[in-house]
Amino acid sequence: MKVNIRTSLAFNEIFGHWKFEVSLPDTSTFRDLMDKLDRDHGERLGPYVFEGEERSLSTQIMFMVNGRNIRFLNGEQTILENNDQITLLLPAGGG
Amino acid sequence: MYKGGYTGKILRVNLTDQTSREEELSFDTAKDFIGGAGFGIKYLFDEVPANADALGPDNKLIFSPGPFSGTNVPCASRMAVTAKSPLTGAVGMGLSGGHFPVEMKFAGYDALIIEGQSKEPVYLWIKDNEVKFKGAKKLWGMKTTDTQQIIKNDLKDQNVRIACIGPAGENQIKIASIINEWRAVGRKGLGAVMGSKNLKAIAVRGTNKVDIAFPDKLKEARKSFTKAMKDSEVLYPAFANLGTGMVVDHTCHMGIFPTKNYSSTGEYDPIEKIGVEVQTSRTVTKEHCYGCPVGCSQVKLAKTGDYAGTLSEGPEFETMYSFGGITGVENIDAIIAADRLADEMGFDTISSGVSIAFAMELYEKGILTKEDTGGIELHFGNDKAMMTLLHQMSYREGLGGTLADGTKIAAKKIGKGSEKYAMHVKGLELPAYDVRGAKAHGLNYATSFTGADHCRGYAFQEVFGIPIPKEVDRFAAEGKGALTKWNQDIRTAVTDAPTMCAFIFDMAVIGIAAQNTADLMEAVTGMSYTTDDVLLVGERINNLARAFNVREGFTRSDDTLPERLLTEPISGGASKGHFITKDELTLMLDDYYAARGWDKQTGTPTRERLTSLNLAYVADELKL
Repeated sequence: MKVNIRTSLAFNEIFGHWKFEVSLPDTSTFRDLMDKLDRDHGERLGPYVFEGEERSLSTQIMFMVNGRNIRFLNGEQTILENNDQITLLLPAGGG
Repeated sequence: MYKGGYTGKILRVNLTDQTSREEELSFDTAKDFIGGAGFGIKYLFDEVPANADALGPDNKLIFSPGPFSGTNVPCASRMAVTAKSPLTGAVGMGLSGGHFPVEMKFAGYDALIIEGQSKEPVYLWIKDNEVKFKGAKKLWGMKTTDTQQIIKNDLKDQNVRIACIGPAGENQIKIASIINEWRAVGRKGLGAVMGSKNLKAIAVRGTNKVDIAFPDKLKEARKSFTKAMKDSEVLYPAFANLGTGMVVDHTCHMGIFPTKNYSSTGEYDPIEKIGVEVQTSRTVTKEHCYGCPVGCSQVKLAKTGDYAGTLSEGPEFETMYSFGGITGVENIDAIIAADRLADEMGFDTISSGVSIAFAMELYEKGILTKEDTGGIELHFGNDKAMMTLLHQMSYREGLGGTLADGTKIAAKKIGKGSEKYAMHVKGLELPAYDVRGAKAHGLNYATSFTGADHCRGYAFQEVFGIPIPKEVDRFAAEGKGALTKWNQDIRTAVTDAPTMCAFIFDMAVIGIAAQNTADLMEAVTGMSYTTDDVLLVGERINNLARAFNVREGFTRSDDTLPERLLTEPISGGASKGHFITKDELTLMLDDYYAARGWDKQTGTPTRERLTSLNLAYVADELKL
């Protein structure tokens, strides 16, 4: 399956785009997606999205699936579906 | 006698008889209201009679910096300006930064209360304790930058700080702003109030210092504050280098950047046209408010076409929405030029842009015709049409004249079902968040004492995912009543009353804000506050402002949102399908009034709640 990813600020430089697609095996979880992105972009991405020795997902980043923060879904175990829209947002402010 | 922070003096100026006098700041007022918005709303309620004409001599215009303004507390050069709003009929209060607020303190005043109405155009010249009324006939008709420069030349002092109006304020359009330096008290038509008083400008120069009660304690309190700033994940380098403009991308990603008058939010996504990358291609320098190490304000230079060479401080995120997203204008240089035009003419970028977007949708739907527009092809995205209308609005000409008092009044004039497309609450146009995807933010729009105002109870939990005081699901309606009360009260208490920068609150000190405010108050003024006391100040001000509105006839039925947000789902993007159902709004309002301890049927504060906030006299006034 494919998911659509949108990112902001420094993420755009790491991924080279602010909007791109990623292919994943069916029934992948959000964690699977992050691990794949980490493998592809690890050295620069890892420090942003993981924290602690257990490498849990950072509390500073807004991780969203179809607009909903994964904290209100099933966290990093949220099962992804084909064409899901994933959003990774670095802390922002103002307005 | 005040130990520090406060000068202890209020300057009262009567324009009708051209007199002025100093009054003592009551200790109880200082303790209960802190300053800024607190002082403004206190004097507004106490001194402006019920049902006063907002553009008549009974309305008052109150300028009030905070106790930290003029000290070395960072990010404290702000002031509230308060009057009854001619746009909404409710409390009109907004804040501005820059340098004017500290100059007021250096001149020796905690507040300036302007009363009456001058027969002829005048400007005020306040140099320390000397007040002069100067003729302003030759300034009348002048744009705001020129006004400030000519006054400086007249006074032979280039260091004078000036707050003034442009042609829009002179013509009393109800979305007129007040401009000081390049900053604005943009919203609620306070520039029209100034215009109605024939007051073109206020020039201030002060040579005094602001005392500090306990300098050693201030060092400690400052240390906590600046540490929080340095530790912020957002402030440096992102916010310092990008400013508020980065929120265009952020809200587009969340599917809540409103586009084309809320008809295509999420579906039409202008990141590549007006997002932060394009914005920074126009940035040439930055501006700092007095005592601010961040300098978020990004000065931009338009580079193409008819707009080339036009400079503007900004446009801020809100203006990228109002002259960009909501009008569908994709030309960054047009947005920069429109921002400059709004500041020069002196009107609110948000209300003017939303009013034009409203007209654009009416034109697209055939409710307005080419005859109505004077031949303008008023389609979404037409930047030239936007510029023409903005100019017309300043002088009440053509279709711009119909739009010059905002969408609520324009819809009444136009009729033909146009109210459905008028995006306002209580007459104040919606700011840049499609609250169908951020429901506490929406409840704040519905209940804020100024109308649809993102500066009152900003739901940063929903917009930026900040988990303080807790994590919230932005699409849920449950639990948003108490959250909105908290957001409104804390923001009032730690930013609007002490006049601290709201951005620093959101991005850096939020976790320590109530304690830090208490610490700063003790260090600077010598007055003791607990964190509960600080939050109570916020609650007290929100109750008093609500009481003002109740006295003006506002009830629960006015606490609502535009019909479109309650019936039409967002059409695309990350918030697709979401909206605030009428049942959800009812639920959130019930929860909100319960959290506030207000009457659920009417939305009126109860005598018990007012009395507990030391506002029993307000209950008497409302005959509760």
